[in-house]
Amino acid sequence: MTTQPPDAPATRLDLTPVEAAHQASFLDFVEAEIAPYAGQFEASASVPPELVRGLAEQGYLASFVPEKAGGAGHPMIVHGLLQAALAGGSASVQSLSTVHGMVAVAVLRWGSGELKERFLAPLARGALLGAFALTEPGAGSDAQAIETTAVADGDSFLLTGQKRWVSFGQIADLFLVFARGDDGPTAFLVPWDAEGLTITRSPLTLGLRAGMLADLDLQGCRVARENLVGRAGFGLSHVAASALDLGRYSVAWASLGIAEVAFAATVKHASERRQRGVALASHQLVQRRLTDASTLLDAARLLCLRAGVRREAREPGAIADTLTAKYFASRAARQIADHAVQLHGAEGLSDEHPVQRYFRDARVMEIIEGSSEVLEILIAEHALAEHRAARGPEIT
Amino acid sequence: MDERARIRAHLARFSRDEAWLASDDLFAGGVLDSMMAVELVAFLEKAFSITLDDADLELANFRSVAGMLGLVERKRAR
Repeated sequence: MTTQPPDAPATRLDLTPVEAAHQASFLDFVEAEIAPYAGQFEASASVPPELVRGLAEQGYLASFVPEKAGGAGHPMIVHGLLQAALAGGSASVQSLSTVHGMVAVAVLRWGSGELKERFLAPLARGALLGAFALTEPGAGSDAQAIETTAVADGDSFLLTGQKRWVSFGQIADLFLVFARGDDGPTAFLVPWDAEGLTITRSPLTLGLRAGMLADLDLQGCRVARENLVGRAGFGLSHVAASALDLGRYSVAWASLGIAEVAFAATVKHASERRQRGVALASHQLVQRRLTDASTLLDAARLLCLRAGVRREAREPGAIADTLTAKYFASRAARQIADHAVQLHGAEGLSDEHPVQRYFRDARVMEIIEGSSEVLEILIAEHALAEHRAARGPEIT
Repeated sequence: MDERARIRAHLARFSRDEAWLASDDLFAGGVLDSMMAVELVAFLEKAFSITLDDADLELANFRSVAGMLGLVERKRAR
C-alpha cells in the first residue's frame, strides 16, 4: 500500500455533502428562473434585466469573491458547480458569469487597494456589471498583437483602438480594456460612459445568442490613471492571464453543464422513443452513441473536479489542469450535443427543442477563452515541462 | 532543498539550459510566456507561503533567480 506525501493535494471522485447541497440549490434556481425561458432569451438576443438582478441578489455573479470583500465566498468547486448549473439552463446566461467574473478576479488579484475599495464589492454584488475587452479586429488568440494604444496625458491615459466580441458589452458598466502603452500591454478599467467610448452591437453568433455582444470604439477615450489594473506592462502577462485562467475554469464547468443536460435529454429520448417496435435505446448503434457520450461526460466531470480541487489547494499545477479540463470538456460537450441532435432526428433540429441550442452553444465553448488549438499548444508545453521536471535532480 | 534550488527546479520545467537559468533576464528569448508567468506567481506563493499583489509587479522581481529570492525575502519580512 502506498501513502500520499504530506503535501500531496487531496483527490476525490465526488462532491462533498455541502457541495451537493449548493448544487441542488443552483439547479432549483435554474429550473425555476432560467431553463424554461432560455429559448426566449435567444429569440430576443438578450438576457432580461430582472434575471440579471436575480442572479446578483443570489450572489451568483463573481461568487468566488471572498465574503470579507462583499462576495459569496464560494470555494472553487462550488463556483464551478454554479457555472455548470447556469449553463445547463442557458449558456448565454452563464457567459455573463464568466466575463463578469474575469473582471472581478482581475481587480481582486491585481487591483490596487483603492481600486478594490471602489469596485470589488459592487462587482461582487452585481451592482456593477463587468465585461472583458481584449479581442480586436486583428488580435484574437494572439493577444500580443493588440493595437489599441494608451497614451499618458497628465493624470489620465487616452485609449485609442477597437475591441470586438465583448460579451455583455451592451449592458456592462465597466470594461476591462487592454491597450499598449510605453511600458507595454496594460489593463484599464473603463466606465461605460467614459468620454471617447462608443458601444455598438456585434453581429449575432452561432451560439450564446443572448450574450449581448458589443464592439467598442475608443477614440482618445480618457481613463483616470488610478483605473490602471496591476502595473503598466503587466496587462497581458499577469492581469489578462489571471482573468483568462478563471475564464477557462468557468467555461470548463459550463461545458460540463451543457454536456449533462444534452446527455440527460438523449437518454430520456432514447428510452421513450420507439423505432421498429422497440425503444430507440435498444438499438446497438444507438447504444454506441450513448456509451461514447456517457464516457466523455464522466471524464469531463472528473477533469473539472480535479481542476477545482487543485485550485482550492492553490497548486501551481491547477493552471495546467484548468487548460486540460477546458479543452476536454468543451470538446466533450460538442460531441455529446452532436449525439443528442443526431438521436433526436428532425426534432433535434427544431428550434422548439433545446438540443440544437446545446450543440450551437457547445461549439462556441471550443473557441472562447482560448481556442482548442491554442490550448493544444499550451497543454503540450506543459507536458514537456513535466518531462523536464522529472529530470530535475540533475539541476543543482 | 534550499530556496534557490527550489526556484531553479521550478524554472527547469521551462528550460534546463544553465545559461538561461543563470541569466539576469529570464524573459528574454521568449522561453517564458504569459501562462508560465502566472504559474510562476502561483509557484512562488505556494512554495514560500507568500501572497503577491500589484505592488510586487516589477520586472526585477521575476526576471532572475536572485530577483525572486529578494522578493520572497521582502514579502516574508513584511
